[in-house]
Amino acid sequence: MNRDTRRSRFGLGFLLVISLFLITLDLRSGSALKGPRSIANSVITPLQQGVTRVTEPIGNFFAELGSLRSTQQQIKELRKENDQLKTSIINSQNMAGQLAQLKSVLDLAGIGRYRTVAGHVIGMGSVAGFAQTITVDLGTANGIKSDMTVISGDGLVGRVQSVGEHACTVVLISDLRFKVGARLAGSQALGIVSGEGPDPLSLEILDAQVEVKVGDQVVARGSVAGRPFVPGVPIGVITEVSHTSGALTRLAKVRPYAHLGTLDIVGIVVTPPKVDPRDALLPVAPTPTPIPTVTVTIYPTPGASPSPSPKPSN
Amino acid sequence: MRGTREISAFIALLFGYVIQTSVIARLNLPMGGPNLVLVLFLVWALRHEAITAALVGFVVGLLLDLAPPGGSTVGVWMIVLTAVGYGVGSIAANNSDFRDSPVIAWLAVVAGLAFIFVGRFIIGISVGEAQLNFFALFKLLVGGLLWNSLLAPVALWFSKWMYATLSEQSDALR
Repeated sequence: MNRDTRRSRFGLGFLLVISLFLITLDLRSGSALKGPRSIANSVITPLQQGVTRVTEPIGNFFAELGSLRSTQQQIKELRKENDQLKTSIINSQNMAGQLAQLKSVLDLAGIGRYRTVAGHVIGMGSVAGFAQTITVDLGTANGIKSDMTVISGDGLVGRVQSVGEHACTVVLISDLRFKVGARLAGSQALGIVSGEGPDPLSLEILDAQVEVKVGDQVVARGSVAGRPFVPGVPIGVITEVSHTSGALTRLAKVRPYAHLGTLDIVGIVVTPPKVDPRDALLPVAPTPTPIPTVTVTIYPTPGASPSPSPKPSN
Repeated sequence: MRGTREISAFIALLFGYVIQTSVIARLNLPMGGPNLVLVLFLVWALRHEAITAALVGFVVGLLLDLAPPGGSTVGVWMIVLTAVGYGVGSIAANNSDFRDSPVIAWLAVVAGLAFIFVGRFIIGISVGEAQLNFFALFKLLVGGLLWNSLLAPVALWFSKWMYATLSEQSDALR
């Protein structure tokens, strides 16, 4: 049954001519077919939007499947980048902390006119026993010798116990064997500060008659030639005073200024000051803020009548 | 009920176009993915007379040229699909194997697709579509034929089922 007749060929020719005419029209004048395009757009677009709304989750799922490999690679790269950024943030925060500590060490050393070498704490605690020590990455190569004073930005940290070429061990002021000659700021009373392990430092005032009170500040008295202790380094503040009648000395508890648990940057005093800085290095003691007391006096109003008292019911 | 078949087929093609542009195109499949409209058109052309297939090719071509995302010169798809539709329709009308044998029908669809791609390329070059080059044609031929040859059996089955259902309904109405 051959239906490829002359009529159908004529029909084909007609359709092809129309197509060619439309091509020519569209190429000659781009705006001539704007109307039909707009109509097609307004008919098809709502259909596309509807179908897209319904099938979008499924489409996205399959699209993800199609690009699974590249997505996995992207996730891998982003994770790597994220790790790098996290490390960068931690390093940045760490550096900011170190910078603040270094600045405070240098500030303290500057005020006391000590010549210090700053170093990192690279180890904490003793290998054997319960000694409270730290290891600092400074040694003989940096001009460090034993029995030098170690300070932080807040005050006395300890003294150098032993020195290697590139590291040294520092005994902390909290160590049970640690003792340092001290004096009270202001009264200049002399005493000895001893380490008490995890407890606050103890201060033994040599003169039992001296007035000692909570809040008094304690500084290092200083040793001969500045070793092991340079003068004027803040040690701590008195938090408790023991009153023992008849004793030859007075005892007190001292909270150290240096935060021994968070040490990172410390300074080792390599040259003591020529002049004792006395109390110049002490932090400014907080001044008590007066609390205002308000007294309210109530005067009876002349015109006001007293409120009637309830009558007892029978 | 002959008109019912044509209308149903055209609705299926319109639906195929919407699915193609809204779903398949968004999948970003490698080498372009299948083209539901072209496969449905060829499957449909196998079951109709040459002039009817040419006319449907003309209308589908107009849809492809005008409808969004479109963007091609109006008439380019029309001329290609009209010619290929007429060719496929006239060959299939003279040989019933093109309708009865699934393998021959499948081969006819794949061959028809190749003609469409090459024809579209030639017409596109003629009207100055700058984005067309031989690499694009190669990619279209390899990727398009691969994807669409996979889609063709499904479309052939769908076409057979649709026409069988429509015939049953028309018989029942008589």
